[in-house]
Amino acid sequence: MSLEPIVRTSLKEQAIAKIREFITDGGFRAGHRFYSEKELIERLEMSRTVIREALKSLETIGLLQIKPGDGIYVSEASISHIVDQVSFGWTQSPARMRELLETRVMLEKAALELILSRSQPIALDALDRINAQMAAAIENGESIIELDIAFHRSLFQLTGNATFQELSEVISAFFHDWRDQLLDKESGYITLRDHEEITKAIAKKNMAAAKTWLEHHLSVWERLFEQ
Amino acid sequence: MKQPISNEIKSLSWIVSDRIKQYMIDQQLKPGDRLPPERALSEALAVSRPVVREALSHLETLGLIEKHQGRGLFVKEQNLSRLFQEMLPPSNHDKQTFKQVVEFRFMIEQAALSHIMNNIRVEQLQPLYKIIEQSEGNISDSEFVRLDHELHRQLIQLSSNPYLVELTTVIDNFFALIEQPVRDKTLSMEERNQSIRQHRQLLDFIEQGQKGSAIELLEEHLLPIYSDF
Repeated sequence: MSLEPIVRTSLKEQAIAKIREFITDGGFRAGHRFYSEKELIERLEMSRTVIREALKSLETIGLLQIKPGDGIYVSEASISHIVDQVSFGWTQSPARMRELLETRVMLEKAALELILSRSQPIALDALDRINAQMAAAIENGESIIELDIAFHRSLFQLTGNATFQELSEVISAFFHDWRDQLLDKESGYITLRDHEEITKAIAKKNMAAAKTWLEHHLSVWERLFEQ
Repeated sequence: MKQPISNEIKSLSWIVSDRIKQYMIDQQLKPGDRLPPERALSEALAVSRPVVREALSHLETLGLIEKHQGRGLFVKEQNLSRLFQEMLPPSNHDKQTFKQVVEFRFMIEQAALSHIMNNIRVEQLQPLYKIIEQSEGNISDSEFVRLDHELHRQLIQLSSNPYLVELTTVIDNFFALIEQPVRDKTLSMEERNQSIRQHRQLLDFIEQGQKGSAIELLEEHLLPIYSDF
C-alpha cells in the first residue's frame, strides 16, 4: 500500500464549504438575509459550535455579516478586501511584487491564448466600451484607475473560464494600490493606446501582436519594483 | 466562546487586528517569531482582552498567525494558498466548473513550461528523469499516479515562481478531494506505457528547446485524463 497525500478536512472546513454552497446555490444577494444559525444547524446536521466557528471564519473573509440580535446577512466579499487583510507587508516588498508581476504577465498571456483559441466569435464590446470610457475620462482629466482595472478584468472574463478569472483576480488585486503611482495624466494616453492595440490584435486574432503589446504594456510596472 | 460578540467588540477588533499587524511590521517579526501574550497586547493597546482575543482570531482565520499548543501565538509563513483556496469553487460543483479548473490547471503548466524553456539548465531535469525511471518499476497503480502528479508538480516548480506552485498545489488538493473514482481505477499496462512515453518525450522536447511541440504534447497528455468525469 502506498502513501497518499492526506487531505484533511476538519468539520469546520466542511461546514464552511457547505455554507458557501448554500450562498451560491441559494441565489442570495449581497444584503440579503441568510439562513439563521438554527436553520443551518438543522440543514447541516452539525453542532452549534462547529457552525458558529464556520460562520465566524466566513465573516472574517467577508462573505457573511453576523448582526447580533438581528440575523445573518450575505455581504459582498470583494477580493481586494481579502487581499488587503492577508497581504500586509507584502506589497511593500519589491521582490514579492516582482514575482507577482511575473505571475500576472503569465496569467494574462495565458488568458489571451484561451481567448484566441475559442471557436466562438469573440465579443469585444466590453473592451471597446471600456476603451471609449477611458478616452473620455482622460479628456475630462478624470482618474482612469478603475477603468484600467476593468480592462484587465474583462480580459479574464473573455476567457469564459470563471475559475481562471477568479484565481487571477487574486494576483491582480495586489496591483490595485500601486496604480496611482503609475497612472498619471501622461501615462493615461499610453495606457489607452496599449489597451486599444491589445483589443485590435484580439479582433484580428493576431496572437503574436496581442502578446507583444501585453508584455510591453505590463513592462512599465517593472520600474516600480526595482530594488 | 459561548456568547455572541457584540457589534462594538467586533468593529473594535478589526481596528485592533490592523494595529497588531502594524506591530508585526514595525517589530519586523518573521515567520516563527512569537507574538506577545494576550495580556501584554491588551495593556499595550489599551483595549479589553475579549477585543484582543477577537482580533487575534481574525488573524488566525486569515492565516497570518497560528497557535502552537501551550506555547502561544506565532507568525505564520505567508502564502496565497489560503486565498486561492477561497476562490476555488466547492469541490462537488458541476461538471462545467470542474472542466474550468482542469483548463486552468493546464494553462498554469503551460505557462510554467514556456518560462522554463527559456531559463533552465539541462541538469535541472535530472530529478524528473529519475521519477520516470521509478514509474517504470513494478509499482502499484496508486503509486504510479502519485509519481505522475509529482512529475508535473516538479515541472512547475522549475519555473521558480512560487505563485504558480501554490496555485498548482491548491488545485491538486481540490482534485484529490474528488478524485476518488479515478484513484481507485486500475491502469492498464498500455496506459502506463503511454504515460511514461509521453513524459520522456516531454522532457526531451524541453531539453531540445522545442516549445511548440512540448506544449502540444502537454495538452494531449493532460486533458484526456479528466474526460472520465
